[in-house]
Amino acid sequence: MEKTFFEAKDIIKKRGETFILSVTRLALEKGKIYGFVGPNGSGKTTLLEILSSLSPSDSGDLFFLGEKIESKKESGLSFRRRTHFVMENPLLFNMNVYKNLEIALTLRGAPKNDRRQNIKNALASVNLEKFEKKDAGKLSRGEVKRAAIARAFLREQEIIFFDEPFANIDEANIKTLEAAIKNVNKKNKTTIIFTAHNIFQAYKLSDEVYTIINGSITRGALENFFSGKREKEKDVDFVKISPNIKIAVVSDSPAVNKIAIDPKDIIISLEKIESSAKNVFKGIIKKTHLENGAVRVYVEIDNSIEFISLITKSSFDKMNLSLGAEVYIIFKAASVTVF
Amino acid sequence: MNYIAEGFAGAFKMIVSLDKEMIDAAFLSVKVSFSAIFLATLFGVPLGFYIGINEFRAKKAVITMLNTLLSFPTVLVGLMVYMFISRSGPLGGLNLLYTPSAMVIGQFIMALPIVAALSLSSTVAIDKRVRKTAVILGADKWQSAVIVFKEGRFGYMAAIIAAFGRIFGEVGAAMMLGGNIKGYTRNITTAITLNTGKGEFSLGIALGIILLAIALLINISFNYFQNKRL
Repeated sequence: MEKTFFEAKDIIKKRGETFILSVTRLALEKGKIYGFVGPNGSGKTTLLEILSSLSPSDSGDLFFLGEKIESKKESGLSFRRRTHFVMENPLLFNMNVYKNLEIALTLRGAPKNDRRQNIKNALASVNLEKFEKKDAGKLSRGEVKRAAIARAFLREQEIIFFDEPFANIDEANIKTLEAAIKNVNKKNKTTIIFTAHNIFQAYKLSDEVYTIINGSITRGALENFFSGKREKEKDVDFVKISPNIKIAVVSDSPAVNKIAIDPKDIIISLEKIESSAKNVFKGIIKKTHLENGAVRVYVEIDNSIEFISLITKSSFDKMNLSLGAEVYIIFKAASVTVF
Repeated sequence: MNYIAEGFAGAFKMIVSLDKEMIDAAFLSVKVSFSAIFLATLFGVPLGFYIGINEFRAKKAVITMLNTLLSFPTVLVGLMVYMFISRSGPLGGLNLLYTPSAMVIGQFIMALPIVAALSLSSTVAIDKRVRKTAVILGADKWQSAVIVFKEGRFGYMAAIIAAFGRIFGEVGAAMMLGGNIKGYTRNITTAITLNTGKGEFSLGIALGIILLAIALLINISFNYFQNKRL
């Protein structure tokens, strides 16, 4: 079996008694672009710093090509030398831009002879080719950020982590930056992992979007995201999201009351079938949207709440679904992510 | 009131003619203070840096102690060192009392807490992202310490210069430990003290001008290096 490119297992980070990050499993593939979306304070930066082995988690493991990575050990150092991290507010050392890039090459033991060309190319990719001789202290915030991104583009990296790469960057340079990131991803098959609070930005650039809220990660953007009151009935936990809709969840903690369901986990059926799934609701198809061979079906339940289900184009056609059709949506309590 | 004008006139004459007593005192001051500051830099900068980048339980106590030592009166330093190196003291056998070496020891003890405390605060003031960036770029523990140290270089220079200013113009310990022996342990400040007492102002003014000129020179070169952003 092929080894997972990059994997995080049971990562937990606490501050005092509160969980600021809790990731059961995250497996990422080579050459893809991943976007992590979430509001401020949701744990995005913490996640990125742990994944990049900049800071250790309280428990859990990281694996790169099957090898365990430990932040404080040799494995962490050699992992960091094969990857790169760009901070939201990056820093350049008190020297000129060229030297700032050169030091990154020196620390990673790059051969001396092609450094100059390397640095020139990297600076050009972020429109900073004229800034070589400029002192870091004389750069604007946006220029510092672009220089720091150029530093990440110096060598072929296995993974580049970007924390809010588009924050503090003007509109014109966002396009350049997007193109540069895509180019590095295509050319070197560099895996890109970035965070954004702008969901559209995340969708535009990434192959896969994850949502992070209160330190928990869900696949997909915040679709089927609801909040409500917790209830318990016959040993089953529910979140009541509207007067008539109760969603069965699996969670021991009575405090959590926000839920999200991955559209891929919601099944559409024409009849009310008997199954092990606890959540079955009748609704009407309100909207459909075709994307990459799959159909996003918007089903309205109880004339009030809309759920999104993602099904394949072929099942959509086979079931002869159309707007206004009456269908059942079905999903397991276990596929409901609770926050 | 003529003696003020006469004092200045005499001072210029002495400077122009490179008066022997004046030159001896100036050279001794430079020699002693440079030796002391060299030693204080050797120990003080690494000490301040080390305390600054490491977290340990007694850190706050150490910082408070260093800051208290900043206001250590020079005569008290003179007294302590005197007790140790006088004939009947524990280091009496070394015959250090009333030698330039004794003055170096005294000034070293005065400069050390200044260099250490100011290096410490410069280290603490370095942007936390410097170390983080070094780690991101692939620096190991040593390499990141070197990078952090380099980022603090102007702070360390300023610390050294502040300490130099204090010991170069200091008189109490120099007097007590050197003994103000003409041609041997008489430096700029002890010579000024003595001659003022005698009512001979010319040498005092001449030495005062030299002292300030040296201080100015050092600060100008510091500024030059800082602007060059070495």
